[in-house]
Amino acid sequence: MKESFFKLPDKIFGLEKSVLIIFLFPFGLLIIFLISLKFVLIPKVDEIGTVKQKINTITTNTDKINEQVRYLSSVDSEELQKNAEYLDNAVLRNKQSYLLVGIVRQVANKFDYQVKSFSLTPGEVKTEDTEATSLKDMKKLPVNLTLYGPKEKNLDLISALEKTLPILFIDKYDVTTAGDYSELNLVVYSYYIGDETNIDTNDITLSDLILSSDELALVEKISNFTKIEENTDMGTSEFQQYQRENPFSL
Amino acid sequence: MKEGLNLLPSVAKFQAAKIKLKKRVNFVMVIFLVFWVLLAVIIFGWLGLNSYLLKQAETKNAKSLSNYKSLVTNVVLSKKNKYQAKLVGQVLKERFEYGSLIKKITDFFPENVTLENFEIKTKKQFILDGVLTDGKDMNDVEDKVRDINLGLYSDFSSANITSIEIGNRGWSFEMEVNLI
Repeated sequence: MKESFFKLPDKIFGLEKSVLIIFLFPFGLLIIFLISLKFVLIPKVDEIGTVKQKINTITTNTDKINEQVRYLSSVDSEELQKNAEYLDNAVLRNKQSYLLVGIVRQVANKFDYQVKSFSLTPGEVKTEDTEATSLKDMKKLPVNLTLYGPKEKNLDLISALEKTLPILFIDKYDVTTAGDYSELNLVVYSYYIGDETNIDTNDITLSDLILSSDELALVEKISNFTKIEENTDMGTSEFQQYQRENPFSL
Repeated sequence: MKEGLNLLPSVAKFQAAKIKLKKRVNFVMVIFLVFWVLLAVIIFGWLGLNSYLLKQAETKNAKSLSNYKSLVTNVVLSKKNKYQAKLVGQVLKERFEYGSLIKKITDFFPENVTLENFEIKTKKQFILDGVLTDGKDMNDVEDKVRDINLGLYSDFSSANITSIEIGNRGWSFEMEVNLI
């Protein structure tokens, strides 16, 4: 019964059984080949693609790093430090408007001008400047000042203020002359860049490190400006308590 | 056989044809297997080569990174400089230089005109008060205003005298000038 179940007829679909058996092995082989193609060979080919892509990425990255290393090795550290100093000095180091008064006073004194009065809340600074400064990291610190001094040194004072570090911006200029003396009503402001500025060193390109010709010209320009020290003593002096007797006490 | 004459019995003929077919199938199978093995060798070999190249690239990268890290101070400083120069450059570009403007205006008037009050309204407009000892000098001021309006001065676009007064100190005038 079993033998008759597995026993095939001599002819299948009009073809001799012995002839069909000849094709059985190649057919099996073909199936195995197709399976190996699907599950081994094609995945390996894909893996080659992935590995090649990785090689390209790493090679590009290495080239980029080497380029930066070459530049950084060739750059003069002292000059870099000097440029950093100029740029640091170009803005206020403290986020306090009153320090500006001290800076302006120091410049004014050189031209025999005196700060007659000042106000730290000069109202709104002109809108055209605010629009131009869309840089969120920079904070504008204005101060309203009235200066009094010799008329003939008026222009020299303004020119000196415009060549001062930290860089000063004059927002309002009003001069009233009486005899040999002038009274200048100015709104002066400067910028403060926060310390919280993050410098990401991970994804840097060479162009992020090299100063452009315009930026070099800027550094060159501000290097000719006069550095005025910010006198922070005003805000940090310690509180002193004096022991005095109450004159009304019995 | 060459003449197409085959005297073998039909069963023998069939067996001979079957043997021939089997040989052909085996030949094709050998070629197929060789192709398969070759394909596998090429794929695995190529993968092996690429894996080796990847390791090499990773080693080079690690070496470059280590060199880069040794220069991290310069990296931070350069990046910071670039960032600050960009910010400062942007605001400085917008800065209006009052010093040069005041110099232009001072040089603009003849010596017999004394400028008393000076107010810059906007970056493009300013108002000034001047005093003259001699009324004849007012002609010079009017000539200047005419020349500005005729476009003879490259820095100024228009001007007009808004008031003239004669008082104890002589002639005084107020003038509005627009810049280009």
